[in-house]
Amino acid sequence: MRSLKTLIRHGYVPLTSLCLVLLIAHWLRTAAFDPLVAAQNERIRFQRGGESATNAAGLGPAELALAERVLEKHRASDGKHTELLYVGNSQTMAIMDQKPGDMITPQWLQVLLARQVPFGQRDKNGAKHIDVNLGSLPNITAPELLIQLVAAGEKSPRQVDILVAAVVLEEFRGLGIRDEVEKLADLPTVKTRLRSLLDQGHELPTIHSSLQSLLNSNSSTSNQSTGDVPTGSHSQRVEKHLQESLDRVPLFSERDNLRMQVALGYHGWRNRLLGITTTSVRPVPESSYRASLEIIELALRYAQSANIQVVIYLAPIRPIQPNPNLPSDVARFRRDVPALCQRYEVKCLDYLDLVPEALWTNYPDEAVGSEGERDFAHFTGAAHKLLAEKLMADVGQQLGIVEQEEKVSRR
Amino acid sequence: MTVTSLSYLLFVLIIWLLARPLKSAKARQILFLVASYVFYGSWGGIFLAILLASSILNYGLGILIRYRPTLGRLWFGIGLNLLLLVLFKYLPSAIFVSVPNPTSFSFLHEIVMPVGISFWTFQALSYLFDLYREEDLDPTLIEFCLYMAFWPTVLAGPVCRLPEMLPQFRQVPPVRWDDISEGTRRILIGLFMKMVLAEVLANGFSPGEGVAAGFDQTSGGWGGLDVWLLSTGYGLQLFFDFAGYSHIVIGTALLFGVSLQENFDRPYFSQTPSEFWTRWHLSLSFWIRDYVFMPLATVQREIWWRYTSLVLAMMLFGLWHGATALFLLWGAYHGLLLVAHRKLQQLQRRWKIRLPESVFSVLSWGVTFGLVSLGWVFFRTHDVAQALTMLGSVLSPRGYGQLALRPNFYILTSLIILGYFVYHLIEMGLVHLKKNPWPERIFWLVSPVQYAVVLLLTIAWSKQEAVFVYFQF
Repeated sequence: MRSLKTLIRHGYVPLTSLCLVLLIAHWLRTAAFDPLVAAQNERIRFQRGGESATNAAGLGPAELALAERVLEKHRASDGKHTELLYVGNSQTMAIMDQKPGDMITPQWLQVLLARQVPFGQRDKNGAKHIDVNLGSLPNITAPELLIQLVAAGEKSPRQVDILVAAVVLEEFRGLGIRDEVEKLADLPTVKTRLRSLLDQGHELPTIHSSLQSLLNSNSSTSNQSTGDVPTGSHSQRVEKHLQESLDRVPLFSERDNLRMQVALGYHGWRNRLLGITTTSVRPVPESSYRASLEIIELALRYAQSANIQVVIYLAPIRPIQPNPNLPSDVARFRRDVPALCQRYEVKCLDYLDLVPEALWTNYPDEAVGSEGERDFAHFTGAAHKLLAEKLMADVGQQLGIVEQEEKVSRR
Repeated sequence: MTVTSLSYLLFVLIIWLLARPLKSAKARQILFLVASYVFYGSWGGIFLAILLASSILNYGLGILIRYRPTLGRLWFGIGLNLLLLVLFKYLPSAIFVSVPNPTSFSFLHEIVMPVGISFWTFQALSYLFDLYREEDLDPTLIEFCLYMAFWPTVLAGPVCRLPEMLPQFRQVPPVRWDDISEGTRRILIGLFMKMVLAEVLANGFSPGEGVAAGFDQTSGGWGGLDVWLLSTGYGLQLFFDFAGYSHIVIGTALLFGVSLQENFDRPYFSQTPSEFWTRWHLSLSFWIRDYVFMPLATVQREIWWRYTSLVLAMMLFGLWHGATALFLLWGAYHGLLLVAHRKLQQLQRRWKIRLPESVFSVLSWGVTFGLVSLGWVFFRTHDVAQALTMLGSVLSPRGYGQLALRPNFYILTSLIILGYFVYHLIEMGLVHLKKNPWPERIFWLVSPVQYAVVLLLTIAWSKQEAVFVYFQF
C-alpha cells in the first residue's frame, strides 16, 4: 500500500504530463495543417507544381513543362541559358480563386519569354533562352531580397543574369531575415560579398545596423560575437545526425507545424481582441522604410558590379477603400523607388494601379472570418497573366540584351 | 555541444548510467573529469589545452601559496590569471577598437577566446584568495582539475567555490528520486525559458518582430515607449537566457547528487538596487563582493572611499563582460545606483520620511525595476552613441507618441513581461497558502497540464539553434 502511494506520488506528474503530450502529438499528426495556407485566406492557392499541368488550357506540353520548371526549388543553372531570378512576396506565388488554366506571373513570363527564344535555342542575334527561377518568399523583406540576389549571384555557375523584383510597399514594414535566408548569408562567398558591399556603403546610414549583426554573428540574441561551436565540428555533425533521427519521430517531425500553430493561434487571438482585420491601416514606420530603401540600393549596387540586369516593378495594390495602405505611404513609395532606380539606370515599372478591382477576386469578399476576409495582397489568375503580359510589353524585348551587347563587344 | 542540444541530453544520460554503479569517490571524480574534458573539448581542442594549462598552473600556484601565503605570491597568481584573460579575452577586442588600422595586429584575428574563460578563471582566482586567507583546502590534482572543468558549469558558471564543491566531489551520494525529479524538472524549465521565452522575446514569431530587431535598428527613430519596452524586454530576455541556462546546469548537477549555487532569485521583484544584486547572477555578484569590494572597502574607513569602492567594484563587474566602454558604463551606472540608494536611505532616516509600507514597497519596486531595466540599454546597444540616443528618447516627452517598431513587438513583449510577474505572484501566493494543504494539492493535480504545455512548446522550438548570450563572456 505504501509503495503504491509512493509510486503515485512520484509517478503521477511525469506520467500524466507525458500522456498529455502524446495525446496532443497524436491530435497534431491527424490534424491536416498546411503552414503556407493556414495564415491566409482559404481561397488562395500557393503554387507548388502540378497545378498548371492539370489545369492548364491553351498551352502546349513544352510550354506547360517550362511553366512547371519555374516552381522547381533549388534548380541549378546549367550555364546554357540566361538565368532570370524572379523575386517577390506571396503575391508572385499564389492565386486567388484559382480556376483551371491559371498560373502565376513568373510562370506566364516564362511561357511568353520562351515564345521569343524557345528552350535550348538562341534567337537570330545569338541571345539565349531565358530560364525563369522563382526566388519569392511570403513577406519577403529587403534584406532577404538582397541576400537571395547575392547568394544566386555568387553561386558557380551563377544563377542570376537578370533580376526581376516585385517591390512591395507592405514588406517595407519589416527588416527581418528568416533562418533559411540567414543560412544563405553564412556561405563564405556570400558573406564576403555582403561585407564588401557594406564596407563600400558608408553613406547609407541604416544598412550597417540592418545587416552588420547578421555578418558579425550567427545569433540575433546579442550584439556581441558569441562563442559558437566551430562549424563542421564533430559535435555539430553528431547533433545534426541526432536532430535528423528525431525528425523521424512523429511528434518531433511536427515541430515546425506546432510552432506555426502557436503563432497562428496568437495572431488570431490578437486580431479578435484588438479588432484587427485586413482592412486595418498598416502604416510603414519611417525607420524601416528608409532602411528598406537603402538595402534595395545596395542590391542595385551589387547587381551593377556583377553585371546583372535588373527590372523592378512596384507591386500592384488593391484599388478599393478602406485600404490598409496609407495614401501618404503609397505616394512616397511611388516617388522614392523610381528615383532610386533612376540613379542606377535601372528600369522601374509602376504597376501599383495595374490590376483593376475586378481581377482581385471572383467572389464577394466582405464576410468577416479567415475564409472570407478581404485580401489585399493576392489576385486572380487573370491578373497574373495581365501582369506578365505587361512585363513582356514593357521590358520583354530588352531582357537578356545586356548579355547580347557584351558578346558583340567581346567579338 | 551546448546545453540545449540533443547531444548534451544524450551525453548526460550516458554519464549518469556510467556513474550510477560507481561506489568509489575517486572513480566518480575520474569519470566526471573525463566527461568534462570530452564536453569542453567538443568546443575545440585548443580550448581544452588552455583550460588544462590554467588548471595545472593554478594548482601549482595553490601549492606555493599554501606553503607560504604571502601577498607577493597571491599577486603573482592573480597576475598570471589576469594575463590569461587579457591575452585571450581583452587584448584582441581592445586592439581592434583602439587601433584604426589594425593590419599589423592581424595575428590577433587568430586568437579565439576559449568559451567560459571568465568563469573558470574567476574560480581559479577564488581558490587562490581562499588559500591566502588560509582556508583549509587540500584538493588533489584531479579534484582541482574537476573543479575547474566540471562540465555543467564550465561554459558559463555558476562561478563555484572550492570549499562548496570539494566535499561534494569526495562523496558518493545515493541515487535519490527527489534529486532526479527536481533535476529533470529544472532542466525542462531551463530549456523552456531559453528556447521558448528568450527566443520569442528576442525574435518574436517571425523575423524582425523581437527585441533583437529593435536594438539592431540603429538608424534611430525610437520613441520613449519603444526604449522602455526594448530595455525591459531585453532585461527579461537576458534573464530567461541566463536563468534558463542556470536551471539546466543546476538540474544536471543535481542528477549526479551535486548541489550548485543558485544564480537567480526572482531578480525583477527586487525593491532596491542592492537587493537586485543579491538576486541577479548571484555567483558572480557574491564573488565581486567577497574578493573585490570587501578588500577594497576595508583599505580606508572613510565613507567616500566606501562609495568609491562600490563604483569601482561594479565597474569591474561590467568589465568582466568585456573590455568595452558600454560594459564599463553599465557597471558604473549600477555602482552609482547603489551609492544613490544608500544616500537616499540616509536622507530618509534623517528626514524621517514615512509612507504606508505597501505604497513604499510598490514605489521602491517600480523605481528599481525601471532603473535596472534602463541600464540594459548600455548592455545591449552597439555603441555609446546608440545608447545615448536611446536614453535621450526616454527623456524627450515628445517622442512618447512615436512608435517605431512592429505592433507584434509591443504586444508580445508586454504579454511576456506581464506573464512573468503574474506567474511569480501566483507562485508566491501559493507559498503563503502553505498552511492550507488544498491549494497545493490542486496545484499538484493540475501541474501535468503545465508541464505538458512547457514540454510541447520546448519541443516545438527545439529545432532552433540556441546560442546563449553569456557564452561570449
